[in-house]
Amino acid sequence: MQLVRKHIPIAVAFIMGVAMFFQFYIPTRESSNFLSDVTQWNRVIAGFALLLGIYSLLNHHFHKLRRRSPGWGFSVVVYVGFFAMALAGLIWGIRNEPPIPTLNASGQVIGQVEVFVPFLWMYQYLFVPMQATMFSILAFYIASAAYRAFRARTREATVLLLTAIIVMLGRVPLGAFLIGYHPFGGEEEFLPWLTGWILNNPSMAAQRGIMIGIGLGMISTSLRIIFGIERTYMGGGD
Amino acid sequence: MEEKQNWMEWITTLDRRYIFLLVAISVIIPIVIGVILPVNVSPEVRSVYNYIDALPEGSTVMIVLDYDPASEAELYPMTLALYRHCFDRGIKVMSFTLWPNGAALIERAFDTIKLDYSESEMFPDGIRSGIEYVNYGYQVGGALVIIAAGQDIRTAFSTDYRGNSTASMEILEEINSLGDLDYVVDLAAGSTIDWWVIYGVQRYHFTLGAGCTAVSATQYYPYLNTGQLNGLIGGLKGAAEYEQLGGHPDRALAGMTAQSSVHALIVFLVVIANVFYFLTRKKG
Repeated sequence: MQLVRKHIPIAVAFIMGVAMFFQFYIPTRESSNFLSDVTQWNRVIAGFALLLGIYSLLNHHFHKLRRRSPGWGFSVVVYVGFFAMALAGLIWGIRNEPPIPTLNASGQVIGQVEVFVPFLWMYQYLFVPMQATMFSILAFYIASAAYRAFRARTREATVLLLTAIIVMLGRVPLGAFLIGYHPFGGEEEFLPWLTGWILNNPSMAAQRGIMIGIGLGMISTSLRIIFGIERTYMGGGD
Repeated sequence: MEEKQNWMEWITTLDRRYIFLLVAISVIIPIVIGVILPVNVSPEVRSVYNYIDALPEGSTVMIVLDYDPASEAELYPMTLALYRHCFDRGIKVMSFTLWPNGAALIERAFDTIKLDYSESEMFPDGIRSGIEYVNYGYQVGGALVIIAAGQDIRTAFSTDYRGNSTASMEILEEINSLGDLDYVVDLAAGSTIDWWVIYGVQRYHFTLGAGCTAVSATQYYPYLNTGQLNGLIGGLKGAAEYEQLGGHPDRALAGMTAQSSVHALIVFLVVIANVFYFLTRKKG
């Protein structure tokens, strides 16, 4: 059992990790074909991951329903939404069809009838507004949180506060109206220019540091997986 | 004195429902009035615009819609502005998405554009799938799709959104992989721009531009600085700048007034909150 659950996955990770590493540096047709094949295998596996995700979602909500856990009504909504969308798509399709022409007795086109696609109707008139609503609510919470939490309590917080005010005003047309002149004689209005400077200098420097840190983390994690030190991806408590 | 203290305390601990009401008013009024404010165009947006503008007629651009309806308000106007610019210039457009819920948005965008150009002199037969544009729909596999398309675009996208085989499509006549494209633009609500830089630009050497939500724009400036991105359209403001450059004012420019007023409101609220914070602190 150890062989199947532990040794073979570690060996596969090691062989594929090393092979893909060297593939990058070998510019031959065979190497390129190997990459194409591996990419296709991976995409097939990713497709199965989608199925696994669906199973996991439905299983989780099934247990909530069976136990009548708090908020089980939302699980009913999940089931109804999932099957309504899936069945509508499977039965009537998911693509917009061209309108069907209507003909008179002599065969002349006198108009056209739009084809009703239930999946697209649900997507357009239920899914899109609901997702957009969820995202728009953020504006209300951000305004409320900024009012409550954005205080110049320390020197660092004051710098953050002033920067936020500059960027918020500089990123909208209002900023250009508020301070129209440029103290350094530039063509652009002052606030948009200052916003651009902040984004292109201090903010970018901080982002670059974060990205380098993430990159180094990715390399070390990859090496740990290849050499079998990192095994949490295999799941279980081993 | 005590009354004044209570009043200041009421301001500093203002019920959030009043703030919600103020935000709602500052969004609704500018939209109802319908004032359009001109926007100043940033160099990052101008760079994307100029690159597409300089491409010869008949070039092929890939515009990837890596977002879903949650980010539609910011990224969909960007999509339409880019499509319009490409078709104005006689450039062919390919699109797909790495987000499962984004495929129908691509189809809707192309349907909108097809109506816009139904009487165009440049396209007497309208904009046709497989010739002027192709929608590959949702592609499963995340970053792997980028590598697959970089290796062989016909194998990666064997059928389009409607299930038609792409092998003999006219639009693919001179395109075998991502490296053959004249330009790629990723419009992203998540982290897919990183994937396009790492697995796309670095491996297959094409020019990449990007569009993203305003909240994530700051994280892509290092790529601009290194030249891995040639331009960046950030948020609704970026979309409005592109609409203004393209001469097709639409939803983004219309939304900028509302965004201006909400930003002004938030700045006002933050300033007020800080003034009263210091006043109440002073009084002990």
